[in-house]
Amino acid sequence: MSDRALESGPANRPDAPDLATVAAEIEREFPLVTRRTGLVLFDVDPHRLQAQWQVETGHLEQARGAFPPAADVRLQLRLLRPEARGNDRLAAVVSPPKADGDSEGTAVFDVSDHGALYQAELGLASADGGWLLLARSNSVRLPGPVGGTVGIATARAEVSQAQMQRATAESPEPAVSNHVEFHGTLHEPSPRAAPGGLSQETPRARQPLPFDPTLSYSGFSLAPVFPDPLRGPGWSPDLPFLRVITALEAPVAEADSVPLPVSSARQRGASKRPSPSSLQIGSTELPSPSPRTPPEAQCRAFAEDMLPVFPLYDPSDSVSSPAAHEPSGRVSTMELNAELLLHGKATPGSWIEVFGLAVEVAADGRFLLRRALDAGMLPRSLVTDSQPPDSSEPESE
Amino acid sequence: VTRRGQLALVLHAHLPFIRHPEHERFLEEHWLFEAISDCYLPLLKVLRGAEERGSRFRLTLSLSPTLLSQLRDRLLRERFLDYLDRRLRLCESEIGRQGNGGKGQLARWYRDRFVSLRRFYLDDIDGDLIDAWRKLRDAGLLELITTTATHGYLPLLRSRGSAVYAQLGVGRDTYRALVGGQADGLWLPECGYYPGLEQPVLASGFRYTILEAHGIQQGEPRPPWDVYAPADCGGLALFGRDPFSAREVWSREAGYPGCPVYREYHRDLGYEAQPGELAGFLPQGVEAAPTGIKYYRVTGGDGTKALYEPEAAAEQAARDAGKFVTNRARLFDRFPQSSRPPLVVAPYDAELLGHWWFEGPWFLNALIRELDETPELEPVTLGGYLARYGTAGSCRAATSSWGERGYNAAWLRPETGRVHLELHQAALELEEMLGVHRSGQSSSLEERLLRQAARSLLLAQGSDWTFHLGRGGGTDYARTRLNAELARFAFLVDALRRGRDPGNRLDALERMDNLFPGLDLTHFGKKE
Repeated sequence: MSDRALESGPANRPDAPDLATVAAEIEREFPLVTRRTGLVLFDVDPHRLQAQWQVETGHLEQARGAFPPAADVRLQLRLLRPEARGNDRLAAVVSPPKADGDSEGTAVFDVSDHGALYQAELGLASADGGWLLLARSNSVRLPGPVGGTVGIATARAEVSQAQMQRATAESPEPAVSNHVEFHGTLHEPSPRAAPGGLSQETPRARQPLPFDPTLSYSGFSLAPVFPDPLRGPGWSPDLPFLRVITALEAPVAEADSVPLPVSSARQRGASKRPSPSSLQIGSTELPSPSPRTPPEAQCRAFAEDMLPVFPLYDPSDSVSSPAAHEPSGRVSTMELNAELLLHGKATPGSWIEVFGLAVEVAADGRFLLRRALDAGMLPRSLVTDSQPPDSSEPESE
Repeated sequence: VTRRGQLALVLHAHLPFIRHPEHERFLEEHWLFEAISDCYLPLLKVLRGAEERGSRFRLTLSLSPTLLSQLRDRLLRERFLDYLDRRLRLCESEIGRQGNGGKGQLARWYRDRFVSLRRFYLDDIDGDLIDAWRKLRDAGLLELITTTATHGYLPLLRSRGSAVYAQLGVGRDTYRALVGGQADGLWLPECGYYPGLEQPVLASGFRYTILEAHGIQQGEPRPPWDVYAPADCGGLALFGRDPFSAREVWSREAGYPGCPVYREYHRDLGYEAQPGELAGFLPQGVEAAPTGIKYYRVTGGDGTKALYEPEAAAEQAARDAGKFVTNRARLFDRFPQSSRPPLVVAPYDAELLGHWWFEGPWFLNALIRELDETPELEPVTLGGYLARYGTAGSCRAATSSWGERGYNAAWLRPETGRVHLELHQAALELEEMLGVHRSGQSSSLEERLLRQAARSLLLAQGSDWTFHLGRGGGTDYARTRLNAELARFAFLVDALRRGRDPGNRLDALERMDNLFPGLDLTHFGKKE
């Protein structure tokens, strides 16, 4: 051991108890309670937006008081697509259930229009079309290929209260949890509906919105698919010296396809996910192996000269995480690795040696070799010989 | 024809601020001590050895401001030595308990290793890791870069532009104060990028950063060199992470660390000892926690684990290093001949090497030696490559991160939404406070309150907390830290609003959250 002594004795501070007391007092006096009305919108991934709101204590009651006493008023979260000249389009409306504790909540939207701009508003809506704005969120542009095609806005919302319980007041089936409203006309609240202390932002007059069939209820939940499905199965890098070929050995019937983790809600509707016949090289999460999944169904794509078009690994364990914890629930990862198919003709009945493997040439002169390639490994040399392997003199070509 | 290429190995060293002077011993401080003893010191030994041999090896090392602040902190340095001595005492008691069997031999091996590390820390680098890294930088072996102030995940902070600028600006200032010089490179926390981020990054003085592969590959237009050369994005150079080299190390199934001869991370004496045997090592009230003494190897399968054999593991690390170099060199055959050599950027968490993957420093040592014998694969720093070859084409990069599913989902889930809203609101409040209490017109007390509120806000913004929330073991501590920092922020803002002097409470907060002493409040002003 080093001869040097410790720089100090027990590493401690004499004022530690005082510091601990102050820390505890401040936490007790300033608990994490709803302090101020706010609404913020985030992009979770190219397919999901998440809104989070809270309403300051007393603020909600004040706002409700701005409507006539008999009015049927409820809190509403609206997802908008801001457009030019202030003609915001309403994409989705979410109404939490009526409850005492609706001062904060979370909503998650499944969307698929990459590159589109969104904003959310929180307010009170009355059955007769009144609307009182409480908060407006930041704007978020949905991720996706930059400059890519703006596709279809679908809408689905899950609402949860502070306790994260799923619920929608206006959907009979919370498991489906969809609710989209398209208001023909949205009314401004009457001038008296702006009591002091409320948001300074004034609701704007809106134009009647025409019904848009592309915004209709879709009823499914898309999990992220990487890469962006808009790229399509035929997408390949522009690098002239590299080429991606995605193909299948044989048409794969739906029943044979690798089961993707679709939710029951998603199964009820059309999906943007590529069909099994267009699976890209890469990885996707699978549920634990099922006896109904035949092993041969786990790899039906092959490639030549594959360039990574997106991460081939599961990056979930690659984030900084100083605390030790066991891997969470068992979820397998399927990887569609590159495979080399080598076929050709040679002298019937002879042997060829490829990568040290002896391959017999059939009577009709054809031979075939299949070989899985490790990631990053693209052998460039081929050794052949027309003699039986035990007497071969390999030569490079 | 043998084609040539370059390899930029990047290590990102980061730990959240886990200093707790209000407790005599605090379990989460072990995160830092384990990282120093298992990772940073072994890596430093390897790098110094390379430098003494005259190796041509080059490494880009990212040092987070929270890590730098804690490595500089006197209390934590004293506690680290205390930790090492507790570990040594635990080894001695294990040697007595295990006798001359396999575990006893391993306990002796651990003791000798800890003694050697202690000697290296005190005698060779004088207890100053930052200075040791700085010397390697000055010698040309290292390029040092940094990250945001508290590892704030920028894509989820951008709802308040001030939060992004503050994380970047304070990060840059802290590096300058604790390391010296200007860091040209920025490590984006979790490689989190969104279109437009290049503007605040450039405004904060950084010239380049690293993106996950799909951030580059889904860029518009797609860069001609894919991830194998930096692309220009509005003046910021973007390097892309090579997915192949990432997978070879990180893949749970196929990655090197899963080899059966390597040490099993999860089987630690701290979870297997009898009650009372760890009393002298663990903080009071903690019954089980990692000790760094691990007797088993991965072994394979779900059956009984075999005892760890360090020599066999070291040999495997050398084989894996050879494989790593061979696979990188093979990649270069796929590129056309060009005056620009293709570049493989291979970034990893520094804590992977030595902590999660115990044999990582041995792997690095063998890798350095392999590279010295492989002329077609030249190690470079990112800044070095950029200075020599510049960028190849320009693109608008795409939203991306290296976290689960490649976007923001690892840090944004329904159960963490409330936290992000609180952070958004707090940043807004601080902007408002700064609008009222303008610099130069505020009293010294108001300046102190504002600075401490800014520190609490920065600490609450760290990506570590939202990552750990709801993920098992780290949840409680993450929630505790978030609640504490947001409460402190609210307390300080309340004092400002009311014009009250909080007396010794402010002093206590300054002593607990004592990082960023020269914090510049102008970073926190409204940006939209």
